[in-house]
Amino acid sequence: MMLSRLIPLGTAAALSAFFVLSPLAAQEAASGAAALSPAEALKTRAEAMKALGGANRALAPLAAGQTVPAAALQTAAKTMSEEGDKLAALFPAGSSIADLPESYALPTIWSDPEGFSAALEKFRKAAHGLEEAAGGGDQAAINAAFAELRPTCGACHQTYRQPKN
Amino acid sequence: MAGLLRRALKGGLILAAAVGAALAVPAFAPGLVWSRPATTPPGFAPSAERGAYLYAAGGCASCHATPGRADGAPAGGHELASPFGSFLVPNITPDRATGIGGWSGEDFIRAMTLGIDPEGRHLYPAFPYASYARMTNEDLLDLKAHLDSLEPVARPNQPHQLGFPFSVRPGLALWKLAFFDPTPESRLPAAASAAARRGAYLAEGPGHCAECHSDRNFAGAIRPETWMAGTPNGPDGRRVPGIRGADLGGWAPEDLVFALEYGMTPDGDELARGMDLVVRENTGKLTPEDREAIAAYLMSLRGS
Ligand code: HEC
Ligand code: HEC
Ligand code: HEC
Repeated sequence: MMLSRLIPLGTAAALSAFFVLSPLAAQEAASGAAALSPAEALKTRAEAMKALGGANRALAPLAAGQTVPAAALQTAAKTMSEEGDKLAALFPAGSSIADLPESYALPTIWSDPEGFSAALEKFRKAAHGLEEAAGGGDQAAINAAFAELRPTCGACHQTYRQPKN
Repeated sequence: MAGLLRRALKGGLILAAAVGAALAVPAFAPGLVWSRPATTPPGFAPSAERGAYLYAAGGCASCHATPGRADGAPAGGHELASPFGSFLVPNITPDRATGIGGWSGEDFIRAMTLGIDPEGRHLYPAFPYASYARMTNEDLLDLKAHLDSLEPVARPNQPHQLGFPFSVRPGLALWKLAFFDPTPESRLPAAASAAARRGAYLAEGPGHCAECHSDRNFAGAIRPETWMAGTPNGPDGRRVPGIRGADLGGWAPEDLVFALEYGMTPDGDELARGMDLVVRENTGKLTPEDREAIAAYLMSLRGS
């Protein structure tokens, strides 16, 4: 009974792993989001990034060894992990700076999908780490998790985003 | 015809010899061309403690800290890529054999402000001495006192990996004659507050902000008209924003102070591409007053 249920599940997983060509597509599929048009994806990811920026700014005092009120801390940490989980589905082909003039996304996202996925994964892991630490309430752990998270934003931007200004 | 060629060749040789002779002094005896008195006010005593602050204000660790060393010692080894090749940053711990342990205060001032080492060799402007030239002798001697107080680390310097002709140090004399100003004037507007004046010293001198936030010409020298105005072609080949009040459209002075402390823009975007390091090693370690001073100075810079 258990076994017969597990086998098709395993086969499906193996098959999807087999047919999925890029890790980016894998995440797209895993996130279950309906495919967005490039223009919609750009709009949605810009909103997600702005939300990440807002959360980052709210958490900034942690970097100076200060505390952030518990409610604001929980909200910002949750924004980081939730918006972060959405990102993989928001980079469809045809939405780079070469395709859409309002975009800052470099074509390297699509020419180096493994590298981009790795950068995204690193960020998501750190974001979930922060959410967990925020739930735990240990200040040193929270500060450490935030210090871990921040460079993962810049690391992705440095390689995959055209500088603004 | 052949005679003409011979004569032209001879003329060329004579010209080359004349140019060579004229350059020999700046190339091989630079002390005769570029000098700066190492005088200090009477009663001045260098302080390692003040020097530690200047070490941060100068961002020395950004380049001199050895990659992978947990103690942050400035024993060198970091690779700086440039269009001319790779610079391997030297050891500036007080180790006598491999660092700068044997240097006098005068040696140090000459290197920091004129780019000339104790053996009389020219230093490459990848070491931002064109900015450090604005520092006072007192600050430089404090800085040296700090370096002298560090643990000596024996780590031999590696040769830079530069293509010809950039690999020829004496050739730097030409570059300096054309582009190096040993007594640079401040860009501070005349009617500036005391805070902006302090900020000008920090940003133009030790902070060497213009080294990355300005455009450079074919020879790698800052184009004066682009001072702090940004460049489409920064150290990583991409755009670096201008940081004059005129360039930071929607920013309030508090936003600038925040960015220099936290390494974030007002909308929570992370500053990266080397600016994160500047904040970590330099502006983030300054006093709040000094960050405000830098902001006051930058905000006072309008278009050129
Ligand atoms: C995996 C890569 C990646 C990660 C991780 C990432 N970003 Fe981004 N970010 C981008 C890309 C790509 C863009 C440009 C999107 C576009 O314009 O098409 C961007 C744009 C932005 C923008 C500009 C949004 C706008 O349109 O005004 C902000 C702000 C931002 N990111 C903040 C953050 C912060 C804060 C973090 C970390 C908490 C972060 N990002 C993590 C890739 C990333
Ligand atoms: C942008 C990178 C950078 C920064 C910042 C920097 N340096 Fe250097 N420095 C270099 C490089 C590269 C050299 C080697 C120049 C050469 O070989 O001609 C150097 C050389 C030197 C030398 C000469 C060493 C020798 O053996 O000849 C001294 C002294 C020195 N730096 C001190 C400092 C101090 C003090 C600071 C901070 C106030 C500092 N540097 C900041 C890159 C940097
Ligand atoms: C090693 C090169 C370097 C040095 C030195 C440097 N910067 Fe930067 N700075 C950058 C780069 C590159 C960026 C763009 C960051 C990005 O795209 O994430 C930047 C961004 C900034 C910004 C954000 C501007 C904006 O519009 O987003 C400010 C403010 C700034 N720098 C101020 C300074 C000040 C003040 C100094 C001197 C104390 C300084 N910088 C020294 C490279 C440098």
